[in-house]
Amino acid sequence: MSKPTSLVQGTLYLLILKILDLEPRTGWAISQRLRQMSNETLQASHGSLYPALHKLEHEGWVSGEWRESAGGRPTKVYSLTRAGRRQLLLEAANWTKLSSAINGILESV
Amino acid sequence: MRWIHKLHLMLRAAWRRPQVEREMEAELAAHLESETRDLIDRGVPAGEARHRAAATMGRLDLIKEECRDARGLAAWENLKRDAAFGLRVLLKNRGFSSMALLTMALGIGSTTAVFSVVDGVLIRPLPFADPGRLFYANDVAVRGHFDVLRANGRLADYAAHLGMGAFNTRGRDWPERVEGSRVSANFFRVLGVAPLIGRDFADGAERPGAARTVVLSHAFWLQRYGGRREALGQQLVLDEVPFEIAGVMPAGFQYPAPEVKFWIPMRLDPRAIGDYWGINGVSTFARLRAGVAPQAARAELRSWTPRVRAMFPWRMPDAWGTDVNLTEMREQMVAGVKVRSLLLLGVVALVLLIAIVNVANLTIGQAAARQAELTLRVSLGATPGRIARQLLTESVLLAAAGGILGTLLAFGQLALLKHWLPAGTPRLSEVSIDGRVLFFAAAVSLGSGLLFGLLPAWRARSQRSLVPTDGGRSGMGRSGARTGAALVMSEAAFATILLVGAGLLLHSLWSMLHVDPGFRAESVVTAELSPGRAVSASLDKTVALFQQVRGRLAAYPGVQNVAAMNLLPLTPEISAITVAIEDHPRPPQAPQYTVWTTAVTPEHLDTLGIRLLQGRGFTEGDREGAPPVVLISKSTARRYWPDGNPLGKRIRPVWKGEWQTIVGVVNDVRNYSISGLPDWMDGEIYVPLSQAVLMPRTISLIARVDGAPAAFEKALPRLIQEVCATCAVDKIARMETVVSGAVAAPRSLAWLVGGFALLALGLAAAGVYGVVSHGVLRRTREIGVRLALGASLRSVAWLVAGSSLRSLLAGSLAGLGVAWVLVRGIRTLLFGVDSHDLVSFALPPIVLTCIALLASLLPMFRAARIDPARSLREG
Repeated sequence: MSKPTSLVQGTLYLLILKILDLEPRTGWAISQRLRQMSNETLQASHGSLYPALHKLEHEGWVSGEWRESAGGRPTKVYSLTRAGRRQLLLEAANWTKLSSAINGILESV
Repeated sequence: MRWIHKLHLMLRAAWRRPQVEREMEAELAAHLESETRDLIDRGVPAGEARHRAAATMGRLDLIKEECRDARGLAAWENLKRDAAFGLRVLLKNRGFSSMALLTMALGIGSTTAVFSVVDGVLIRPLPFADPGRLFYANDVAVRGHFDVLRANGRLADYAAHLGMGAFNTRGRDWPERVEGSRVSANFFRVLGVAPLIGRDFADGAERPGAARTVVLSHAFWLQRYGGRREALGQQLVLDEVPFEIAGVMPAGFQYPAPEVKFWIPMRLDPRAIGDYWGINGVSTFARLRAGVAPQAARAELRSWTPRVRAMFPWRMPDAWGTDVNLTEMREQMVAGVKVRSLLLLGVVALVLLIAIVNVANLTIGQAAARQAELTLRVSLGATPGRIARQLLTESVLLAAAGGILGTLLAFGQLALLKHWLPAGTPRLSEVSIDGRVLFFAAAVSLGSGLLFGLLPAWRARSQRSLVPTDGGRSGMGRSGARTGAALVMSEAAFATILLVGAGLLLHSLWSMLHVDPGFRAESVVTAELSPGRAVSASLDKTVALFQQVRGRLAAYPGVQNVAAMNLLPLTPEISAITVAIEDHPRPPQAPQYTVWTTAVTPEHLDTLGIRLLQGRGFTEGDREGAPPVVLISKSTARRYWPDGNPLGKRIRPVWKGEWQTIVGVVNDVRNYSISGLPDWMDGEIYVPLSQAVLMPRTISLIARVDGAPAAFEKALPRLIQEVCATCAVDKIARMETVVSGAVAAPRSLAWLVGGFALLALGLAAAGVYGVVSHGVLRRTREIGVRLALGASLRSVAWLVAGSSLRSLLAGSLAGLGVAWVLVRGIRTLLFGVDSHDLVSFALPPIVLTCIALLASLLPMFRAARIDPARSLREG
């Protein structure tokens, strides 16, 4: 139910890694950025974002850290780890390969 | 490194669950709040904004569940659930669980106990500073050689000791014998162990004229001085010479032997030529200096060999010193027990394997019995992987429980082992079940659990029969029979190897026990008499003392004969001289004859009941000044005078001009060990004590006593005290004890291995019983059909037991093959039995078959009583 139908399985991880590559963010900021960057096309349900984040943390690709927010409340800020950066390069390369292959098929048919 | 990170997060998720949950809640709440504020900022009314924010999130509880999954928490939860369920299953099937538990506990307990011994004796570093740099200098056995090396070695520091020696010291009632070691002054410093209190020896303490000091062992200090500090500076009188107590070593320091009570400086006096260059007996070791490789130190050590050879006051053979070498000290110390310890470890490993196979077998039977339950779970959507995990969890649970029980058992088994292992086993007293051993036990338990759990789990995973096609009744079919056969086969193979080993060792022990020692041990009491320096320095005085002692002892009621010898029979100490033998000249360069020499008094033959075959025994007339005479053993006579008469022939110590005439031939006696003389001995002679070539420091008394010797043994010290106040008496024992002590090591090994083999046999029998009865259960319907169609009971019995017996034999044959190769490793432990001994190899398959037949009887009986009608109706 909370899986975004418009997102290919696993692509969400790639996008999160890419967004965190620029700067550390909270979960909410990631969801905002995701909406903006894709011109509101990719409406990942906010609900699916957190399991993905926790999965990435468990894999050691992002690390979560509790900080004081502007409002004085503690919020969890995620940042990319070195392993995460490697993973990002790997997945980005895979994605390029996959999408160009699909494009190739679409154009030739 | 990734898995560490994951494990850390998983453990955190599991142990700090409330905090992790709180963080998750806080994070999601923060998100909702930000989203709401964002909407409000964009002009949405507050109530509406909250509603919409919540809508974008979806159901919070589901998100949380997914987050938990993502964090690996689910796996943990499943594990907990599986464990709880497994525990219920195990508690429900008490018969199965207790059987499996007991089997595992026996296997793990035995392995742990033996491992603790192997670890303590072979593996653990020596209790010295930086023990890896300590090396034993082989064949540096002369004081002069050691002294030169210590003074000149640049790459290593050399130290030495003279082994163990016994000294007379004042006791409460009469002189006592205490054992200590004479060592070089730097002995403790090279080992890197400082005294607990006081100091060790000053440099030069070995030189003539140095103050006499002694360092006490911790145990001796406690026993004799009550652990009082004031002991320092007091005098300890050893062989009538006072030594000042300089220090006490810490507890546990007991080099070179556990019974060492004190250390005194050895004498190093280059002017005492005979002492300094002429007597072997120094044990030299070295500590490599920082950064020095063993090869370099070895090269330096060897480079000194020719120079030292030239320093001898007499010409040494060119071959002298060729075996000089450095060996790791630990290697050197454990060399004698290595084979034994490893053998025991191998034996318990086999027992453990059999235990594992048994439990695997039980578990498979259990899984078959739970077919209905498992099938139900599959129907309800459990994946085969999930079922496999469940079964594996149960196995590991079982193994953990078995491990705990086994470790408790190991404490008891270790106490037994310590009792059974020969007392001379080095470092045995240090052996205990400590953290390392517990870790080993835990690892073995877990490993065993995985091992016996994997088979059923893997079967469950690949099991087509789990698919509910047949109302849950499909049974394990052919693959079940195949697994059963494989289990029986491996069990038979392991058990066979053990039985062959045990058979060989027991056969060897039997041979040893049936060796004729050449004398009659019963009713003979022995004791060691140490007369003290003033007497033992003179042969005349020693003999005179003995005559007084004999007079006193002979007057004791029941004493028939009293004699003395320099060394008791079956004493593994070398007592040999180099001789020339008449009629058998040797070229001067060739090694001369070395013969075992025992110095005895005339009554020796009668007291020990040794048969005189030719000529005469010694008489009182064969004293100092009279023509020197010798007796020779039967095999010596045969070797040098095979068809002539040896009487009247002569033998001469190489350094003496005077020949000794052979006056008699006596039966062969095992004077050195049950297996005979060392093979480099060229013969065996006896000389009268009063004409002894080597001065005995102590004499061994032997007395043949009528009736109960206990009272005599008790009176012995007092009787001797009456005629010699300075004499210490110890090692009072019956000759029979001496004889059985000579086979103590092989006996304990044979019994230990035999005991484990018996255990293995029991386990194997249980295993075969399990497989056959499981087979009967599986084939109830088929047996019913056969019986209904008129099959004979015999054919049914063969049907259920035949295949198991066939696999058993096949396994046993395979085991024989492996054993055939392995026995090479224990050849050095065998005596009087070929390592490919027919009996030891033929018996195991026969024994196993009989045991298996016995184990199959009950299930066969049950199969024969199957009521065809009922089995068909119910099947």
